[in-house]
Amino acid sequence: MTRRKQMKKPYVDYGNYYNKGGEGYMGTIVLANMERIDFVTTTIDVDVVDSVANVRKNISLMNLNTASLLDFNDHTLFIPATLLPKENFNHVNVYHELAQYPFFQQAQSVIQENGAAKGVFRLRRVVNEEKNTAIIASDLCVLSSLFGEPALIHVLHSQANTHPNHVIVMLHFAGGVMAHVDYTFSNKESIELEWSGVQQIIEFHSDEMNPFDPKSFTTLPLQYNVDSILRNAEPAEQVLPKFQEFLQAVGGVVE
Amino acid sequence: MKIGMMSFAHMHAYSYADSLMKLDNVELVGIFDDDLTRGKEVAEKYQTAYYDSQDAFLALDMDAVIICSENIRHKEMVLNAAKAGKHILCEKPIATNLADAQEMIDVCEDNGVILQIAFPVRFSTPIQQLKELIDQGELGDIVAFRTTNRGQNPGGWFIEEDLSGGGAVLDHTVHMVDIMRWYLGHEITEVRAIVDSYFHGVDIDDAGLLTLEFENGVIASHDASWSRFNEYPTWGDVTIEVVGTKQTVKVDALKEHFRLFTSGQKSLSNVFYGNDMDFGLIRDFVDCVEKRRDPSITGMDGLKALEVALAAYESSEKKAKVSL
Repeated sequence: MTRRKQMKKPYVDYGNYYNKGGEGYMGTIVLANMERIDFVTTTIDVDVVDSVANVRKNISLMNLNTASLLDFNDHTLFIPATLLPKENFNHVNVYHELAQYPFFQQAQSVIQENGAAKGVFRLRRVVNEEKNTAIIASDLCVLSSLFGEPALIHVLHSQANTHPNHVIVMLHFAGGVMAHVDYTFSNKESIELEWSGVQQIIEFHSDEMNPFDPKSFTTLPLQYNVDSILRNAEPAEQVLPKFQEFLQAVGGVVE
Repeated sequence: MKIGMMSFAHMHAYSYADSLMKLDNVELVGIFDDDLTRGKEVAEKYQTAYYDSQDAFLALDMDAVIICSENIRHKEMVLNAAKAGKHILCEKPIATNLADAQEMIDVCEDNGVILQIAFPVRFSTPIQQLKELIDQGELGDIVAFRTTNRGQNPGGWFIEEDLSGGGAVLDHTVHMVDIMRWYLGHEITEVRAIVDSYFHGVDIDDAGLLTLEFENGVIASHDASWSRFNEYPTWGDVTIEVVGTKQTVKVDALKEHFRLFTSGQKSLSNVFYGNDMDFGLIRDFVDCVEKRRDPSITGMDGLKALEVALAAYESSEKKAKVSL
């Protein structure tokens, strides 16, 4: 089944992602958590499809749980880093979910506004799934692009036989930033970000910044658009080394 | 009951003195302070006698003293007060090293006097309510903690290491370590920390992150800093999030406030209306002395909290985990 998401003309040139169709046709498919996609701020034409067979010349958006990556061999793919394959990533572009959230993009620009930042960064995520260290590795890729290479990564996991699983990652970035990122793998979704900089404090909590009350009517604070994914994704071969390094680190200590 | 106060170097002394004034059964019989100007001022404010001699002050007929000196002088004053037979409430941190802390505990025990450490956060109503929920099993088993204690740079002797013994990490770690130990009933065995100075251009630390492991496998992260500036809506924060097997609960001890907007450089202020935890601490200490019962926060509680803060400095210096 194909559902067309008709939007106004894009203000960003996404021409490279549109394909002409025809023999040997390759489509552009964005795999995403559909609950996270903000269609209101998505400006490009995108088909929401539930099967590779329904991919047409527009950009297609599919739920990331609908198929194996092997089914997409003939297409240009945009996938979250959590699905990053270890090999066979021709035509695969990777995005980090954290970096797509508008709150994060705004916070990042505020932190970077005055050049080299010094301060304490804290990120707290409650994740609605079983323990998944790929989410942590993806977030660490985002933080390293913001603060530089970490000189220290210290990781603590809660006891394996307890639920929920909780993971604490402490990082020290050489430029003068220390960070704690805490994860609870539970049955809800929330993100809290705090930045204590010099004469500058940022506080964000997705539960508090929800414009609805009751909050269950929207997931708006934790939504991002397809434009952002296409704009920020990088070729898989560029993302993979750093991602794997962090994936390995979240199993222990790397100094 | 007759209580005296030793030094107003620590700003908490004013709040503790205010609390004493509220208790009908307590008389503030005198103030010792080796800062003559400050001592005379506070003696006048609280309408009591000023002493510039510790010996003369400790010779007074009184039941207990409250010590709010510079950290480095806690030991000297506790030992003198204990030997004079006075029960003691000592401001945190108990001392600046473990040997001093142990000696203070031993001397108080030898002289049969109470030594209570001033951890007022234990008397915050939401902090106490969370303790009750944990004890009732509402959270299940504790999996992890996430705590913060961030405030403004107090300046003065706090940023002079030879008087304070440490900066924000010493100042703002001990409270929440005490609360975590109190909630869990287990000790911290591993400390990994980053300590640095970011915010005020001072040599002493004003920022620190601690990652902790308890003996029963519970893990914790703690943020201790003097990162709040004057224009921030409130002095700082005291928060704890407890991840349990049944549910996760977060408490912000200073959340009970309304927002006050005014024209000017500081346009937003949080006006706190919650319970006065300092008054709760003082009332508990007075009750403890009155009933000659064991203190609710012992010298050993103070020592264990200090141990973690000192381990944080060691860990940061060595860039390695410190085992306790």
